Amino acid sequence: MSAAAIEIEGLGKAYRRYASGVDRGLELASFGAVRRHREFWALRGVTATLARGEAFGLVGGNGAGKSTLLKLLAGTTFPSEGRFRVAGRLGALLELGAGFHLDLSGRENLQLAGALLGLSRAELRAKEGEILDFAEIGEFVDAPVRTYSTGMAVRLSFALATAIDPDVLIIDEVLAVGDLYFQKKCIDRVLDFKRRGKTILLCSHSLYDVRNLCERALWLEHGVVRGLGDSVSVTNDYATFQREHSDASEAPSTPPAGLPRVLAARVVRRADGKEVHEIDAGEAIEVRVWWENPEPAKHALQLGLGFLRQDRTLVAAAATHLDGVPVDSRSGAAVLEFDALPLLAGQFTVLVVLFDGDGVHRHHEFTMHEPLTIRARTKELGLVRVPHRWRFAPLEAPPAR
Amino acid sequence: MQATREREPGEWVEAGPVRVVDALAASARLFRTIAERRELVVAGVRRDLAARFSGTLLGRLWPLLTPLLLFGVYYFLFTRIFGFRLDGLPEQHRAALGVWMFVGTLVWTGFAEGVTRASTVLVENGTLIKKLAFPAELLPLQTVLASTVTQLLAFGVFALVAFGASLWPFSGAALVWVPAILVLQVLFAYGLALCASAATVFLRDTAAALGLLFTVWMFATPVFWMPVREVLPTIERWLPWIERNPTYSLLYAWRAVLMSSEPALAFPRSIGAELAAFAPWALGAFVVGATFFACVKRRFADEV
Repeated sequence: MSAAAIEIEGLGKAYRRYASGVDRGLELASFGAVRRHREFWALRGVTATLARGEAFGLVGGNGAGKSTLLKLLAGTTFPSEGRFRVAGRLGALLELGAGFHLDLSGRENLQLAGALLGLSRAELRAKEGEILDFAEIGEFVDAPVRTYSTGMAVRLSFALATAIDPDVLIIDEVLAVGDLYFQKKCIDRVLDFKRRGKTILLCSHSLYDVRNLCERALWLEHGVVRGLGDSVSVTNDYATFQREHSDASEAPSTPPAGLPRVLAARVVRRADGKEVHEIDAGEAIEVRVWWENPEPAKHALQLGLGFLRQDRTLVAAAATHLDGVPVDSRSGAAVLEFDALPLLAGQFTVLVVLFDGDGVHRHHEFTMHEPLTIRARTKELGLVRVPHRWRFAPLEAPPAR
Repeated sequence: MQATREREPGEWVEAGPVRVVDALAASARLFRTIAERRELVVAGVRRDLAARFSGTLLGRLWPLLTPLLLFGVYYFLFTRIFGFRLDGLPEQHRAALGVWMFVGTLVWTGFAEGVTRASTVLVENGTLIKKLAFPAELLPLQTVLASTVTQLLAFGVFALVAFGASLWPFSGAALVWVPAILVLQVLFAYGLALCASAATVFLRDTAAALGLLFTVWMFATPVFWMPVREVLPTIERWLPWIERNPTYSLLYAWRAVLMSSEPALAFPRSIGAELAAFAPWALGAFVVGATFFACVKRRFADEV
């Protein structure tokens, strides 16, 4: 037995597309001699090896081929090229609730789905208590699944699927289902699998989950591998790509001639003085801003700079009037220095604002065209790094409420 | 959610068309799969039977009521209305033709219903096939077995009413043939069901065409008529052809088991000989069906 849990070699899947039913019929009737389909490659040229006991993430946009890859590995569909193998018993959570019959009770469904999964009656009986405990459906167990809430059906399904105790567990997006309490329960169970040395392949839109649970990750885009490596750098690359292609840039509003305006802004790495769009968390940078003010006597100036998240939340900012720094209102330039920018992984929009002398009216809001991408080398969480330290000491009893 | 037991752990799954040799091997392995997954088969058969009568007041009595009524109708028709007599039959057995048709109907229904219903079973369970990796071969088997069970229940009713009420002499030792006939019938029906269900995935017309085909086939099989000169004088020149029909042999065997206790009713060929004629059909249908199924099953999830 090799040390690999899953070996994938040049795996590809093509679907056949027919323009009409007639084309399809023609091809079938001629036993493939007449080819009337077009091939659509949902996945192509994927090569990867998952070590035993590894948690492996799968990221990518919609239609990237993630589900196709998981379906291939799970054995519900078959490859068009390449090959793969899975060592040990495979459990796949592709879709919760698949195989449930609405008219049957929870218990009957457990029996039927258990049989589909390959559990014997004895095995199932042994696990029934555990499954029902986890699912927390209480007295509904003998009611038809039709009467269940979505959460109940999902819980029952997840409980059953993980109760088979596979060596390799494939999870597709199901952690996103259900309430927070259930999600936590699911993650705990996944973590438990991991602790027991099982191999996990997790597909998730939540880069946080992938980063947090997985050591390595694979990034698929349009069916081909865009990145493969440690989960932090792969999710970083993917996040960068995602934001670049989300196209959220607004057309800059240029103020009418005669009013103060920002001409340009640059982010420069202080280590080498080069303009950058991507930095590591905690690097020393400076932002250089150039502006013009045709009528300095008429318009006094204050200068502000902010880092915005994608949803336009202001994460950090600095402004001359807040810092009590006087600004020469003639056309000119300024440099804002950061010794260690405490922003964590993500992409931030840099916004430069020219205020009036009181810092109330905004003459010009200038969004830098290129966003600033921060790469995290660590698994730190959140938007900013907050200086902190831990201390353990006996404390008095917790205050009474 | 699933545990894949269909492929061996650590076995390479390769792209490319399934070779016929491998498909043949797979059809041989099918028996093992069925044995391993018998609980799934049993659960499926139960569900199939339960689903057909769920929500009805009489529930599980229905599969018994239908043959009971059928038997009553045939018996009444052929003893009271038609007054149809077969030469040499004692008075109390003048229902011979009724019993003949009753047995024929049950066997034909048990066989044909299994196959025709199985033809759509993969398409109907498309979500299951798309989402779960499990041996899809078992789905047509469930349907075939479910209608075989219905047929056996009906035979039970027949045994109770006909033998119990002495409307027909008890079969006695001939009943030892029942398991063999059953196995061959299921094998034959399962083979056809595998073909039909797989073909329907790619061409939905198959199921509709199958309905027509089975209607024609039913009339070509002596279900409602007797292939004997005394009853049908014109039949003689067709007999060599009629006897080549596998379902002719199947019905003959069942009737010989259940009806040959009446000496006046002629069953010139032995049950063993008739089964020997049927067995190659059953085996052939199974091997062809299972091989065809194994050749194309990889594409099911993409087509259903």
